[in-house]
Amino acid sequence: MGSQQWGILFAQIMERLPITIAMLIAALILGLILGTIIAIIQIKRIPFLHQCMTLFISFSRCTPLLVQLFLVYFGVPQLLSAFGIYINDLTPFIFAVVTFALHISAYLAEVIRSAYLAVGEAQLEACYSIGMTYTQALRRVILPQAFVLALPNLGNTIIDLFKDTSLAFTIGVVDIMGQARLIIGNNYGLGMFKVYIIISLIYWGVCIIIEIIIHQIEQRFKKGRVNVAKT
Amino acid sequence: MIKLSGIYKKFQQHEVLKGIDLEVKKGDVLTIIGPSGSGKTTFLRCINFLEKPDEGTIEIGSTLKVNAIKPSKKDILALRQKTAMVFQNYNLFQNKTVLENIMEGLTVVQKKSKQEAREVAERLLHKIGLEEKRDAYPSSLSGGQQQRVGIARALALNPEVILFDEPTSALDPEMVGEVLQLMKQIAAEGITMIVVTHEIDFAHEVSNHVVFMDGGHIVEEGTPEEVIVHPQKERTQQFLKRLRKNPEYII
Amino acid sequence: MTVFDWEFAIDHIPEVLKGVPITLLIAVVSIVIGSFVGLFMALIRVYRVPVLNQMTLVFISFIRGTPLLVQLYVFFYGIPALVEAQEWQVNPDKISPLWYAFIVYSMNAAAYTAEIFRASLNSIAAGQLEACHSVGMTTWQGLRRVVFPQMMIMALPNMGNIFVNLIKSTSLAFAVKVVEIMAIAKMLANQGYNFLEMYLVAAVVYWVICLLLEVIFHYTEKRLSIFKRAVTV
Repeated sequence: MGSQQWGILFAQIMERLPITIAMLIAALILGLILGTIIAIIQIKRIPFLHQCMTLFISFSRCTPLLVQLFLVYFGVPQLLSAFGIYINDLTPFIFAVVTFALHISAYLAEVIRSAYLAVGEAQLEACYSIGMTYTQALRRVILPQAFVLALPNLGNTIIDLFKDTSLAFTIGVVDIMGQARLIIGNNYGLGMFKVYIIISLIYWGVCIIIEIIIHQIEQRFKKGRVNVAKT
Repeated sequence: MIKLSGIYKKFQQHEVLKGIDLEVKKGDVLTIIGPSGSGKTTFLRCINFLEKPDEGTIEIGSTLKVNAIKPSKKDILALRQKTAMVFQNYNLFQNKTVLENIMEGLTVVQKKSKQEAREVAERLLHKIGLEEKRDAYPSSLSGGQQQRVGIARALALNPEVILFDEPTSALDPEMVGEVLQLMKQIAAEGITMIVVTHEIDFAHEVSNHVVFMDGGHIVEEGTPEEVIVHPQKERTQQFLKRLRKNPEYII
Repeated sequence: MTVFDWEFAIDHIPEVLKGVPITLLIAVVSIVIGSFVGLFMALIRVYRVPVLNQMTLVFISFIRGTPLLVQLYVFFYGIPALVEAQEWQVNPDKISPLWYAFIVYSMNAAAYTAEIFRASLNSIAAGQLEACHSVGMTTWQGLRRVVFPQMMIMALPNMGNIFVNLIKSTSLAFAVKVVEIMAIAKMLANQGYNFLEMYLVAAVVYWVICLLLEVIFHYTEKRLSIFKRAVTV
């Protein structure tokens, strides 16, 4: 009696999975670019920018994502309208992606920075000693090692980001969570339990898939190499 | 020919190098000995600008003269391309195989073809006796093996001078011999070497030029006979006496 | 229209601060309960107790693989639905939403602390327990007097992280009708369209709490790590 309903609900919600994944990937790519720039600023300690970024990182990591989401979606248009710029018509999807990207860029900056530092100065000196420039050293020796070191943390950040997308519905994005809320709203609250069970299974399933993918990537890059540079 | 003049360096308030002058001829094997804190490692690292001297000039060959006060990036790069270093902790490129480690300088810095680089690398692998390890990663090698690869990496570049920074200090005693043996071999082939080490016997047997450093100065300089067997200065004598005393207890 | 209504923001700070006690309450209760359960689960995992080990694995995987918001909804809407379906005698409307919050946040804290404790136990336990046995202690004595204290200190930085994350995640509790910082901020913001002002105030409140906690944890870690200070020769 209920199984048909389960099936229909499942299909209805899964219909919106591409939106969730799109948010995830867009935010991830944007966040990686921003995070790398921030990491470079932090590593090189560029005056003034360095302090700004430290503040930004502290803010991003100390305030809830929900607050950041509301600040960007509700607050920024209010701020800009005082200057005559009206962005209220932009689709909430963009606000969501921008907020998520800013949010994880702070975490990714730390991940990238600590992976870079973990490779160690000794490797860089070895590159210099054979006459490489800094760019050559980065490209051929430092970054490949930093990437492998960063993988576990990168994987965790991606999974957290995926779970964080569940907040996007609060500003009107109709992804799997948004769809779930719509269904419940349309049915006067009947079948709530079923819907939430289905959606938790979907999140759980995708998380496990992401974990497996990350694990495979780790295995491929770790062949025969040591985890941390020996001192 | 390598000539260093007036090398001076200060770490915060502490004067590490108080004006060092040194000349090394082609084919020389120079050993620098001295107590810890004497500045010998800092001095060695100034030669390829891994440490930046506050004052002084570095000359390599007849073409390159670098002033420590305002060196251009090109100059520093040129300095590093004419020298090569063997590190105390080997510092092999962890993400590359043994063969790739040796080839790296040839392909990336000297812009040789992969084919050429491989040939040179294979020859050197044979010389150091590690052909079966060509596809191994540094993490799977012993310390002595890693250091021999480090020496091969330096040799591959055919530099004007190879700088050795305490090459055997981090090795277990049974592996020190194989590395010293290799160093003896390449010294006999006429490679110019500057070696910072505690191995006084090596200094005596293999080098033809010895320098004793203490407190940021060169205290005594000469042939191994002069400095090690018949030291003139009191500090040199004390230092050598302390070192010679140790072998009395062998467990 | 002014860019930022400073007066409005400052006037309503006290009101937003009224949500802080609830926020802290949820976080503290959850970390305390969660730590005990987490330690228990870590021991199960380390000693590979059959059946319980698998159950714990599934539990931890579920908590870490689903968003907190979904977990809150599952409990908040699911339990009453379940109660209705099974026709139990309890009236779910009488239960304060705070209880749901306590349960869900504690489960989260338990899952995350379990992993921390497991890692710490694995790295400390073996050698230290051997030493304990060699002086005649039982395993339990050894655990209690030697391993757990070291484990707590080793886990402290991560515990600090978990606690701060808990504080931040309480911002979701408004979705299940708990009146904490976010709920108040939202209400005030909607009154007069002062979104920027109120959410900024909320952000700053969280930020300050977070920074204070960082300082406290840093200081505590230093004090407790006395035994770790290497003796310089």
